[in-house]
Amino acid sequence: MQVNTNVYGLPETWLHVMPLSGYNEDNKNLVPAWQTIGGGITAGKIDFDNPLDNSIAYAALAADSPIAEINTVVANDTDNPLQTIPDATPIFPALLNVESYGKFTQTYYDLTNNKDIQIYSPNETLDERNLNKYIQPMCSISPKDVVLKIVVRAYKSDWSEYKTFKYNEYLSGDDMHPYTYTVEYPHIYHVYALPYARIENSENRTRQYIDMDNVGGFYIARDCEFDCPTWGTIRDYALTNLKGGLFNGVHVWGISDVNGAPYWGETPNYVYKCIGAGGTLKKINSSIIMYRDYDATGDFVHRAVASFGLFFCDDDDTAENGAYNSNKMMLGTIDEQGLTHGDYTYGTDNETQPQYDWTSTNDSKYNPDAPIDKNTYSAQTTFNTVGNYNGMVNRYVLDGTAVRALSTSLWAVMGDLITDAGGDYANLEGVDYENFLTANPMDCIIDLRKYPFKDIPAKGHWSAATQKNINFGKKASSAAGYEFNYTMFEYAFTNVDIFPRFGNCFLDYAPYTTMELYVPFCGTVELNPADFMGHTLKVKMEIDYTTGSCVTYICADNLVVKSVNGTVAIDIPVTGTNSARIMSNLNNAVVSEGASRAALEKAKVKNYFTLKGAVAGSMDLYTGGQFGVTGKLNKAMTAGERWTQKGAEYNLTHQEQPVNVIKSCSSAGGWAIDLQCRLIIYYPDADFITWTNNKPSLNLDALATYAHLNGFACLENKRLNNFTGYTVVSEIDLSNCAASETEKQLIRGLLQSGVYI
Amino acid sequence: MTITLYTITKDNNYLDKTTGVSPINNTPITIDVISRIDNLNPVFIIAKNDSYYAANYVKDNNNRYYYITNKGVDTAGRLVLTCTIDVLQTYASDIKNAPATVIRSESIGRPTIYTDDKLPVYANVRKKSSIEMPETSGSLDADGDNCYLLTVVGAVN
Repeated sequence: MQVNTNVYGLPETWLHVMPLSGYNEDNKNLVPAWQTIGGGITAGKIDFDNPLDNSIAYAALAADSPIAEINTVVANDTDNPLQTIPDATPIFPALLNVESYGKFTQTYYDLTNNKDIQIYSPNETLDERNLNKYIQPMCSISPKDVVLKIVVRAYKSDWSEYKTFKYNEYLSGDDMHPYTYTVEYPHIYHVYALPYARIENSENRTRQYIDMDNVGGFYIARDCEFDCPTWGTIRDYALTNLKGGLFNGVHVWGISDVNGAPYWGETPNYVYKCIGAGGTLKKINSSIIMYRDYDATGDFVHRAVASFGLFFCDDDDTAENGAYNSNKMMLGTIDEQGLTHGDYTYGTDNETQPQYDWTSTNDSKYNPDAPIDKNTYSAQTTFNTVGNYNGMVNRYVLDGTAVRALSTSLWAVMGDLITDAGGDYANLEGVDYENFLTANPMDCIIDLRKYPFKDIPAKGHWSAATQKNINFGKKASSAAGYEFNYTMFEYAFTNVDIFPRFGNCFLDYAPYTTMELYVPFCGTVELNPADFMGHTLKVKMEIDYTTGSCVTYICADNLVVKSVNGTVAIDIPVTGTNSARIMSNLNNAVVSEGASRAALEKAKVKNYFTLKGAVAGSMDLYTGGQFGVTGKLNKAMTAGERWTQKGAEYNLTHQEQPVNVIKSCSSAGGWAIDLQCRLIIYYPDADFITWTNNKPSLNLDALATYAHLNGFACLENKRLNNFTGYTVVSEIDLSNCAASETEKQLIRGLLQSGVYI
Repeated sequence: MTITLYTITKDNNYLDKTTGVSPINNTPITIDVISRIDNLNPVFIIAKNDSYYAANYVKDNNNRYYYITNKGVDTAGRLVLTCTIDVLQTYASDIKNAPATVIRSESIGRPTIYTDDKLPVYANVRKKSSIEMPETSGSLDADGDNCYLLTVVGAVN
């Protein structure tokens, strides 16, 4: 790594991190001196537009890393519980600072009163995405020169006292898997990662703990405004400057009081409300500890330290002498974008990580300016449960017999009328028209549909086992059905695992192999074999009882890749009388004289007045043969005049019975074929394909001659001694071949035409 | 310089042509001084020997290999072998050790994921097969007279 001395100054002016002076020759672990500044740039110390060294930001914490888990802590009025607002931006590059107090927010600090605080940015508001652009890099390190040892400080469950543990002790044993924990001290409120650096001329030790207080600092991400991860039950919290406490190590997270000391006891503390990573902190009076109970199912402590992308461990021996590929040595992983997520490897898997081969953190390829992929990738579709509701309608399930009874009921208005009249038109005055005049049954019917189900009560999704009379408006009918309150129902079909038939070669995919899926009621839908090969084809049909339609979701494993709509139910037309018109006709009918006339007139009058809401007991209006006090009804009455009953019967046959029809028939064609799904596969055919039980497979023996004369299409990048037989080469590196250039051209030409090796 | 004569049968596009093939001459043949030594197209002149007429392939004492493209007899009765370099056999070891991008290979053993236009698949011929996927609830029935759903507006029972 070349260090820009115009910026850093000459190496002899730099501080050395003890006891690493033996490594000066590579400028590793060198700490450039700083100069106190007062809100501006110290000359020569930083060019804030250009990161001086990749070590400034050799990695960034992704949004899902434990340290960057939650970016805003907002206290509510009662301060319990705390609410947090997640931010998907990876905002927190891993820093290597020495006494730089690199922070997201600067308004937090009073630069004039804190001369030891070095904020190397002229800007009050920092770029949230890469703060390291504005922070002086203190040093780069070789990842293999520094191992972080985890130390935790935890409170007893009753908060009576705390204790500090080396993490392997806190885990109650040396075994890392499975985890156990110290039950007596469940509330972790500080996690430190203590740096152990490589030393020379040591006795029996490879690395030694670096005491920051004595040396003047080798901090990793010190005093960073960690937004707290998801915490358990909040008791107290103080969110001030999260300094390294007694250990002065890497403060992964924790709390401290307003003076920067680690928090314990009942010292009054203050809550700071921080809006966004670069926002202003506002002090809110409160006194709260933030802690986290150890969760044996998720090693969040390891993941927090792993977020720095460096080697770390739980115990002294590994920290001092552990090999970098030993099982107790862990290494935080950095993805291809340079982000850490809290993942880590251990043992020989460490050798596969890029940091294993880094000379220094300057070898990082992380580009803070590169766009970050913030998307959350999932291979699963979530299906919701749809609530059951009918709103202001009722639904009933009927069998065929009940449907015919319903039809009879809808045509039985006159029968009801006669029944209500006691079977005698003469007693029509006993008929109460209210039910029919207020609710024509036909007007109350929304629809009748037939579904292709077997029995009722069916399969657990009918809501009642007993039938109830069907109400049409206010009119109870003699028809009965089972109450039905479901809105949607999922039908599942047998899953199918899709196997390649030709050894997963190009013949297993389009356009050679194609697929169609037949779905009942929906028809056929074309599927892409590439979406399903090696996966499970799943079909879920969601039947909508409100419309009689369905939506079928076609899934590859648990991800919906296609959907198709269809119609499940058949509309059944409903016919019946229009009772409202009948009543109207009855009331307005011309009646001949007869015994029924008086009854009809009485009925008409009674119901008329009843409808008017005028006088109760309207038949009293006919007392003494007169209607009403004035004795008048639609005509002038003279004294002594009255309604009289005449002779002939009321002839209802003069009245046309109006018929109502609801809906029309819909097609039942979809019911005529398979009520199951069927996957139809179209395969290619050739001389070298054999068929057994409608299943094709390759006959490789039949391809032997073809293979010898043509070879199989491939794309391999290997040395040619890995191949035998006919081989065609597109490119070859002959730099180690002793042939002349002319001969090499001849060789290439022959290889590209095809040779036998 | 000496040469060894062979009669080979393998095509020119084989890297190895002489394995299992015995040379025609028992001892290396010293070429005449007037032979034209050329890297790519040498002409070897040797003493005539009837058994040499069957040769079609030459190896020199530097392990360079040549095809005999023409044979003749000069006025002195010597056999004149006009040759051209066989780069494949000559540099076979270096070639085999060279990293290469291979796009067709017999030793792959079977068709791969890469489309092979040469594979003799029948054009426009497709065979159908199907897999049933019965519903798992066993409730569907198109023939019954059992399941009607009536939606009405009405007072709740």
